[in-house]
Amino acid sequence: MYICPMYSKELLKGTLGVIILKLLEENGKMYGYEICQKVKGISEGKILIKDGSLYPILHKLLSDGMVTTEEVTIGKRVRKYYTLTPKGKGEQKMAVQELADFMDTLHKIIFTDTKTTPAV
Amino acid sequence: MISEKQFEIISRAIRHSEIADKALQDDLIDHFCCFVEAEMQSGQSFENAFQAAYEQITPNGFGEIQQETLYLLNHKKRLLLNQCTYLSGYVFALSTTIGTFFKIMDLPGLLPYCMPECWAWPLFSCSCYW
Repeated sequence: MYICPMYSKELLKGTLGVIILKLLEENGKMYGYEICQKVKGISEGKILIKDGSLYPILHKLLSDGMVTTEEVTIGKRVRKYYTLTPKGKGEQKMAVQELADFMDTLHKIIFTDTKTTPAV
Repeated sequence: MISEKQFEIISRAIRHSEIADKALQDDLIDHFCCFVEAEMQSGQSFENAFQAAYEQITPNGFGEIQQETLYLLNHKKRLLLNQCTYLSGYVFALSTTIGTFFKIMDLPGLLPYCMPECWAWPLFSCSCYW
């Protein structure tokens, strides 16, 4: 799903949908290539979305009614701008909250010393 | 900006690929064009830029994108269909077992209700509907 010079794909699997929803929430409307470039820029090149993988997820979000498209013709080609729907905005908040909670839990498990002394 | 001829080359390559969905084709054509334009602005030739676009956007071919899209779109339906199949199998086995039991115990009055045919058609119809 990703080409990640820094992170393994197992770490990032499942977060692309949240990333897309968050970017659309912040930037209003965006097209596919723009989303890829934005992720690359914000992550300072640490997360490079394998571009083709973006569209299956965008089409899934479209089918679920989370995003809507607006078509703009540029020369002979059609550019589709994706925008969050009210349903998508609600889902985005929940998805971000869930991810934050998950990261917090991971932090507690992995970075906190949970070693207990054995009972005597 | 790429020329009309270059656009036609990109467009033809995607329209004749494994991708059948028109909306997905449009998305990829625009993506390829943007990528190629950016590469050409940094001094690459069209041929090299187009090759680089292939490697970056579809390293495992167009088929993978089509399959991934279909998988994501139909995942829930397929899951539901599987559940229906398992459920019908379970009811079929259960009714056969109970029917056999009644037959052995000589309780013929209950037998018709436990025959698999009683349950098979409604369940089969449900599976087809989903």
